[in-house]
Amino acid sequence: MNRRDFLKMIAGLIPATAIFRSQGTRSSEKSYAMVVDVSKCIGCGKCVVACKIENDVPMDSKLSRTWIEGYSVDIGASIKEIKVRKEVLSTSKNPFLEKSWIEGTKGKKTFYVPKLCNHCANAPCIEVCPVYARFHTKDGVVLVDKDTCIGCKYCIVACPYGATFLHPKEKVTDKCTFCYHRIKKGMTPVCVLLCPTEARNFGKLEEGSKVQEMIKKNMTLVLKPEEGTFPRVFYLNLDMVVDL
Amino acid sequence: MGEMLKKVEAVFVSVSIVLIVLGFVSVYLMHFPLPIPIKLPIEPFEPAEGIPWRLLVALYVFFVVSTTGLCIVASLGEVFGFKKLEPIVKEGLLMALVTILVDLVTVGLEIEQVTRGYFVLAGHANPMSMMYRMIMLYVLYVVFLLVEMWLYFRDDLLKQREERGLRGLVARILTTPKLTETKDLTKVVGFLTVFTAIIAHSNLGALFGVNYISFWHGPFLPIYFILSAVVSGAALTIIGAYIADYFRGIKIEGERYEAFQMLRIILGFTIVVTMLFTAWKFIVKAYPTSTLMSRESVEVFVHGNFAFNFWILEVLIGLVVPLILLTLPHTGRKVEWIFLASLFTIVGIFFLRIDLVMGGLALKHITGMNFPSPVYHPFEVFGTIGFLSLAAFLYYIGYKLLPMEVKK
Repeated sequence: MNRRDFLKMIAGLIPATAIFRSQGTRSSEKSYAMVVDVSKCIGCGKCVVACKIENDVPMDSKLSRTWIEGYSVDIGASIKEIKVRKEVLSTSKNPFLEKSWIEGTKGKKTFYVPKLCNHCANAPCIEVCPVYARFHTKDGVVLVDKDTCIGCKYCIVACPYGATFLHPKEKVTDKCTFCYHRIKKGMTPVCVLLCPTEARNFGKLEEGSKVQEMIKKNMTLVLKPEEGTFPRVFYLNLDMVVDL
Repeated sequence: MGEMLKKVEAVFVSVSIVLIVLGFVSVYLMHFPLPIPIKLPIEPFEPAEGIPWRLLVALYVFFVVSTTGLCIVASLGEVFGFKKLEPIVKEGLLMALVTILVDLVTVGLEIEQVTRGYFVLAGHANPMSMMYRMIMLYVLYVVFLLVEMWLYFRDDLLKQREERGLRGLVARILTTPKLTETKDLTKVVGFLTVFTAIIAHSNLGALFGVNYISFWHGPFLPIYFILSAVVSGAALTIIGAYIADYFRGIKIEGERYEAFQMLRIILGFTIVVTMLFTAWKFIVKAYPTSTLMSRESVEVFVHGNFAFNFWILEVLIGLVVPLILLTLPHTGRKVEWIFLASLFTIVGIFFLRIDLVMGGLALKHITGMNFPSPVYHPFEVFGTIGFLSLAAFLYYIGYKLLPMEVKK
């Protein structure tokens, strides 16, 4: 190899790597997905606690891979007068069991919305990461390579869902992985496993699967569809006041 | 007077060193906290997000804006033939170098795993990432800037070789590589430097602008970054040159005075354009009322938690007062007032950066939640003061060691 060829190879290496890396990332065929039925969530917080234990996220930290938003909606005389009270459950302390929440929500429309990483098919966090610390698996799960992450936090800024955070101990970014270590062994994510009301449903988007059927037979929504991220977490019975 | 200035100089050096040490210790404690947990004043307002980019990132943006602006202003005199600005080129270049170096330290200590930074340089990098592109462009900029400075200072360094002490030694080391003709080469490298600076800086604007965050999002953010860089560059050049001349006991007159007047025009003009940009940005974001989260993103600045920062620090102190001082003939003709106007501008620009970074992120928001106020952790504040002191201290050292007398 002469010098010119060597330089050509080096010059071509970076774009070639980019193209190679981006291959197959947008395919949602047979990818994993979660369907959340908001009407079934009771805000018990079992999923949050289980997730934190399973994935070694400090229990007392507000930062969490999954969390539950509780909404209490007071509908006024006009559409502009809708008053929304929102509380967040992200630790073992459940704010929905507190007196102020229970009394404050009496007679109002109250519901709970579990949230997590949406494993977007067009994931902004992957696109912005300067060191390829984030990537898609072939089955559509967005993972973080914790040995590569430099902790610049650009992915946290870029994520429209607030689903990624800086791990308080590891000092690298962290987020939901759909419990990838479990699902590759044929198990379900812990949040799904421990949900007492089956509000969370998980599986592959393939013919005959439960999640596929749920999406087919119901009206589903994704969060912030206008961002064009193509989330893989779908919601049933989502109210208009929810922060998409 | 001479004795007095020496005392002030000694105090400046001592205080700077203390503040720098304090700043570094504070930043260290942010990464490796004491066993006793210290709570951040700003709590995350959603469980999975707080304000990930905070004061140090705002400071980083402030420094890169400064280095770009300083480089642009210096290149006007050096590369683009603005003869009146030639007397301040050296100050401009030195401050551009100092700010980018301190900037790299700032961002290096802000990144959580800085020891892995070599991944970017070693090719384990995502060329689609704006951050990657920005890093590479700034590395290139530093290289060009160093070469440009070396070429620009070369003639004077050759004269300085004869001096005794540290100044002579520095000059002898820097002039070891031989070069015959440097004038044209300096201009070529100067052009490359300013070109890279503009591209790198607009890339930083794009880094923010491409995000869906309402306050940032838009194609004009990179242009706005360049514009505000010129404001910072002109103001900092005035501040740096004025302080240097004051402590050297030199009266600002003749060509130097003309340079100040030219900077006054540049600063005044860019302040007016910045006002226009800011006003239209806010109006477009807020009108009509139904645009997606856009109106909310500016309401926090107009009458929310960031209103004091915006109206008093950004607009009044940073734009209106300096513009009045610069345009009134009585004050505009006196360098002391131009210096004061520049100081006000820099204070305003600094808070503009905080508002842009932290205010923008605070608005990543959501119905039913309160916006956090712009309050800061003491470690962040000490870190920021430390880095600002480091910049001032390095400028002082550079001024002492390099041949800063005006070229004839």
